[in-house]
Amino acid sequence: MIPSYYTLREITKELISNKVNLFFMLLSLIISLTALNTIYSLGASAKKQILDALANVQFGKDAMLIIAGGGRIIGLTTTRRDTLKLEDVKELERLDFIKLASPMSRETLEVSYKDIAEKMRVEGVFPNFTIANNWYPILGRFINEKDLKTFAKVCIIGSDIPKKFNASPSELIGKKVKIGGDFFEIIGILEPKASFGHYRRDERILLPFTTAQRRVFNKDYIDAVKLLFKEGTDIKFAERKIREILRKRHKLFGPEPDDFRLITPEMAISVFTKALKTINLFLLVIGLISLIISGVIIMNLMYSNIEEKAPVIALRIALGATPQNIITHYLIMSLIIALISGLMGWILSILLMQIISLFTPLKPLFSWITFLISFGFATVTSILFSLLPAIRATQIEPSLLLKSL
Amino acid sequence: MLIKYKLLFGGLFYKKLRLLLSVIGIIIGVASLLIMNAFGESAKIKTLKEIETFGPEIIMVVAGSVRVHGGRAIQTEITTTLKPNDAEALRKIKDIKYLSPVFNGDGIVRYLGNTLTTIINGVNEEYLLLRKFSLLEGRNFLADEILGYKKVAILGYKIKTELFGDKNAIGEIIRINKLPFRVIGVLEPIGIDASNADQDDQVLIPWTVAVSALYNVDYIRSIYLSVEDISQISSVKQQVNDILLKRHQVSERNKDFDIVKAEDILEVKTQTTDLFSNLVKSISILCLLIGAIGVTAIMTLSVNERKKEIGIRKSLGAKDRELLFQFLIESVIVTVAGGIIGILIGLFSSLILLPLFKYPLVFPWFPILTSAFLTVTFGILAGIYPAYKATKIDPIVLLR
Repeated sequence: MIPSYYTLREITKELISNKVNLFFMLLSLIISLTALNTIYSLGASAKKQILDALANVQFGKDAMLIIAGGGRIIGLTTTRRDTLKLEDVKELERLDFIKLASPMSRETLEVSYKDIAEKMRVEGVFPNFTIANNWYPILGRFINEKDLKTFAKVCIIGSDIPKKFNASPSELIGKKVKIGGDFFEIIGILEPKASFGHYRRDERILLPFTTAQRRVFNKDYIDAVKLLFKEGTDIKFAERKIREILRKRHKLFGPEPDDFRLITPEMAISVFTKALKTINLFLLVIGLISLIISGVIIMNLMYSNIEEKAPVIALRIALGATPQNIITHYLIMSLIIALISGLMGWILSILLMQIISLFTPLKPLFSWITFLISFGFATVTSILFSLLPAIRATQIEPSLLLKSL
Repeated sequence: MLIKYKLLFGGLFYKKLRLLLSVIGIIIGVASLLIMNAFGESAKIKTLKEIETFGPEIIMVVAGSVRVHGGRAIQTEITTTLKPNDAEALRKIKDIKYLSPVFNGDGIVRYLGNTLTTIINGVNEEYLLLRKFSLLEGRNFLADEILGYKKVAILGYKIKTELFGDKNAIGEIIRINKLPFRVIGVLEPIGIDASNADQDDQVLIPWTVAVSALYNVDYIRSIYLSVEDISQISSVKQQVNDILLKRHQVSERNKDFDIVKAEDILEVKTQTTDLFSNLVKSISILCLLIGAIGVTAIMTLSVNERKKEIGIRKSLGAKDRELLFQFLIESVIVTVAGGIIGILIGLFSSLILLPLFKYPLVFPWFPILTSAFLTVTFGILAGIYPAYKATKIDPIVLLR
């Protein structure tokens, strides 16, 4: 039923006639909606940041990380960790859903430049590291096939390292650093990446894989493999297939635990967002409760509004208005309140997010979902709690009019 | 005097439904404030409980390097240079109370047809005392069993129930990686400790057996030690560091071990919990704030409706202060009434909800006090505007 222009004007008039009532109804609803929206967008923004950071290193989806050594997702390995070999990767590469496999090995070694020495993470990687991790040198060049073939003594350094060496990035190119016991020429500097998890990402040194294995680490096993899948690969299926192959190759049967860990983007996301989830849930519950309270307030003010307007309603009833008319009248009124406060709450929460983003790393996130939440909750609360007063209004006796005569 | 109070209550109960609804607003606000505060408090206690089995008097020496991340010590590399002899060498530090070498690994545990994979911790007889684990049944290791390479095992609670169910486990023979071990004890349920490992999902065996028969290595993964007196902890840490640097012949910078105090691990964890608790507490004030807005709205409304009454009182010589007082009292009464009921409801709900969400049950004294204080404060705040408005009413309204 579409209300006519006339009824709409009457309702607005009625609303404006009692400014104090209107003000408090809007105020309570706006505050709780703003809170609800802000809490929701904060959570969404924090989550998006984690997802973006993961996607930025090609770990958003269609990817997997194999880490040598079995155990829990994070923490100590509880099995041997020297069983993952390059041959395993060769076999995995033959699977048709694998787009790219980038093995690497790592150690923590002492790295020195001039008179500065520090223990750092050193990784032996293949040229396809850049694609596998979406990570390219910002200066200089990356490791190429020739470096691998000649066991070249070259290295790429993370973007935080020049600072540690008290040197500007450009002057470091071509200089030599000592890693382990040998000197390596710096041929490139990696672009900076957002850091999460337990390693500072920008604090690492990359060597050609062959150089690292033969000249520095002296080992024949690898520590991790980054896999990229073809688009649309069923991760569950891929995981099962890879596990099957690795277990077979490592001669693990029956209940023997895996001596490797398969980490899917989903697992990484749930690890990083676990703490976030509880806190966000609690805050959302608070937001909802405050919404209920504002609903009670609206109900209260609606009652008093109806009480005040009782003679008018009685007159309308006497002139033949049906209960349905009266109820629609008050529900439209509450809808107007809902729309105003929904809009205000939405705008205020966007402003609040902007302010919060000024002094936290969280970026404001614009999404129409908050818009929907704002209006949806405003409408539901407002209408739900106006229903009782509206029904009450229909029960007003027209005889009331006679008393005031 | 009596008339004054009659007036006050007359005003209050003039519109019963209205009063009821504003009180309900406050009740919901206070109850949820209390519940949320109770959860915040309880989360803190939860962390404290986790700390208990990992008390501040414990120091962990870990082979390789360790990073503390998100409240866990994560071993970032493993070295094989920490030997059982190092543990013995540390015993000469005089303030050490308990000391246990630890070697942990995965193991397949079998009993009759049941098979499961779990963590095997090779420890000595002091480990239980050090970690304050108590036994549900059976006994601790004997020093002779450690020295004599005896294949005996103490089961975590979960392992016991999964392998044996309700049956008696003591004296039974289980197989760990195909080797037979006699069960001598079962741990009480402990839960997840500060290092984030489920302590019910483990099997303890003598470390001597772990490094020899089971895993065939000549190194250990860590050494746990506890000090007699917490104030000595820094000096003990220093001594441990000195002894191990000397024994391993490494410089401070190339250390092949790391010393972690329980405090270091817990710092991050308590920080997160504090953040959680404070955030939830401060946001929950929102509920009360909105409840208070409701009271203000209703009070303002009734001031408007009672303009005549106020005008009469004013023209009869009532002072502004008296009127102010009357309306303030009115709002305080409404909020306090709602507050008391809200606190009761909140108290009962939190006593029910806390165990439901597996939070430790605490009687929320502090949250009750906070809620009570906040209720009165918000009650006064809610009354200020309407009371002020009442004093500004001109008696001239009567003439209209």
